[in-house]
Parts: sequence; structure tokens; C-alpha cells
Amino acid sequence: MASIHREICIDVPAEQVWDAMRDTGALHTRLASGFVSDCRLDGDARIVQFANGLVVRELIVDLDDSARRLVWSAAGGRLTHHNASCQVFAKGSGQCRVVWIADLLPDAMAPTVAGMIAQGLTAMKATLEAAPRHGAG
Amino acid sequence: MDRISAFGHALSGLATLALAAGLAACGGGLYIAIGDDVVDNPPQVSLVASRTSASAGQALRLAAAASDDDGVQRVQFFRLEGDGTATALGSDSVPPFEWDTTLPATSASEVRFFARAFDSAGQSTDSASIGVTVQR
Repeated sequence: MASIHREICIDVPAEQVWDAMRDTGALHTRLASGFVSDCRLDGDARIVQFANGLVVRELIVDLDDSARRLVWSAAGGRLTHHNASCQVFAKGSGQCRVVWIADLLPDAMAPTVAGMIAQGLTAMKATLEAAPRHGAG
Repeated sequence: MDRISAFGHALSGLATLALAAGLAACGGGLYIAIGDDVVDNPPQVSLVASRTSASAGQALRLAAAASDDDGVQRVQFFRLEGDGTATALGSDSVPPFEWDTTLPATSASEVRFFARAFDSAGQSTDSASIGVTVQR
């Protein structure tokens, strides 16, 4: 099984990043605009349309406010197994680290998924750092 | 007031004076120690690579020197990517903390790495990043 662990530092407080991440239906507007072009909730899942045209049904497995961790599964298509998590860790004042981990099969899909994770993280950084800060004024 | 009551009253007054004197000696505060107040410092870590330059595909070993007042639980090794993300390469929970990797194909002039040490309390510290020059 391929396991991908990638992370990025974001100059936004952890609680603000988590507030956007836990809003699972607003992926395209609040979290990763440009990387995701549309997202709509469908029961326990969300239908995600990526900017490259790919459409994926992501089943929300867990949303843990205390750990600031979201878990989802997107098995289907060429992926026979997929489980991923995104977790937000506070890092000093006004900064955080977002860690995205994906376990998947087949191994041959790892480079494609790793590329999408990298794009997703950089889109998150751009979206969140451009958003107005809570409590700023 | 009988003699016993007077004696008790005097003792009470003495106890009050002693308590006041004690408080004054402590700077006016009342100090009660509850639980342990042991400070658990985060780990310290530095990183070196077996090569300062390498060509794409060439093997190199990353070695971290990590220490902690409570013991290092593991060290995780990362490669910094050109897009600002960091890729976790793997982790080692047994000293000497090392990870073998290969230099990826890249158009960049150097590839940077860092290590993250964890202690048993879950505290972590990142090392300074180091660069390996890409040979063409």
C-alpha cells in the first residue's frame, strides 16, 4: 500500500483553518478554491469536482473538532482503496501546519495522488492566507 | 474568663501571630504544592546528510542528532518541495536516528531536508533545514 504524508505551513491561526476545513461542503470557496471548482453535500458524503475536471465522491468518515482532524474515503475509479486525513496543528501564534496523509491502492496511483495533494495544500495556503482574518480590526 | 479559657485564647493569638509571620516570610503569599511541576522541555534536533552534493537517483543517508530530557520517541525525516510543501520520507524510533533516501529528479539546484524529533509527551521540534546540491 502506498502511504503519502505531505504538509504545509500556513500563516493563519489553526482555529481559523479548522473552521474552514470542517465546513465540508465549502471546499471550493473556503478551503481550496482554484483546486476544487465545485462541491456539494450528499448525505454523509460530498461530491467534489476538481479544477482538472475529475469528479469524486468523498465519504466523510470522521470530523474531530478536538483533534482538528477530518477523515474521508474516496475509493472508486482506479483507486481500489483510499483513506485520507487532514489535520491542523497550531504552530506558534498566528500560524499552523496542515498535515495531509493518504493511504491508497494500487501503488501505481501514488504519484498522481501525491501531485493532487501538493496542489491541494498550496491551494489551501493561498485561499486561507487571502481570506480576511477573524477578529482582525 | 477562667484560667483554661484564657490559656486557650493566648494560644490562639500566638498561632495567629506565627501564621502571619510565616506569610510575611514567604512574601505575603500562601504556597501550597499540589501535583508535580516538573518542566518537560521539547526535544532538540539537528540534521546532517551523508553527502553535500549528489545527482538525481543517488542514495544519501540523513542522520539526526536528537536529545530530550525525557527521551526521544522518534525522529521523522522530511524533504522540502519546491512548491512550499514538505513530504514525510519516514521515521526512525531507534537511535542512531537515520533515514536512507535518494535524491529526486528536479530542476532545482538543491534539495532541502529537515528532521522533526518527538518526545514521549508529544512535543516536537524541527531541525534547521540542510541542502544537498544537485549535480548535473
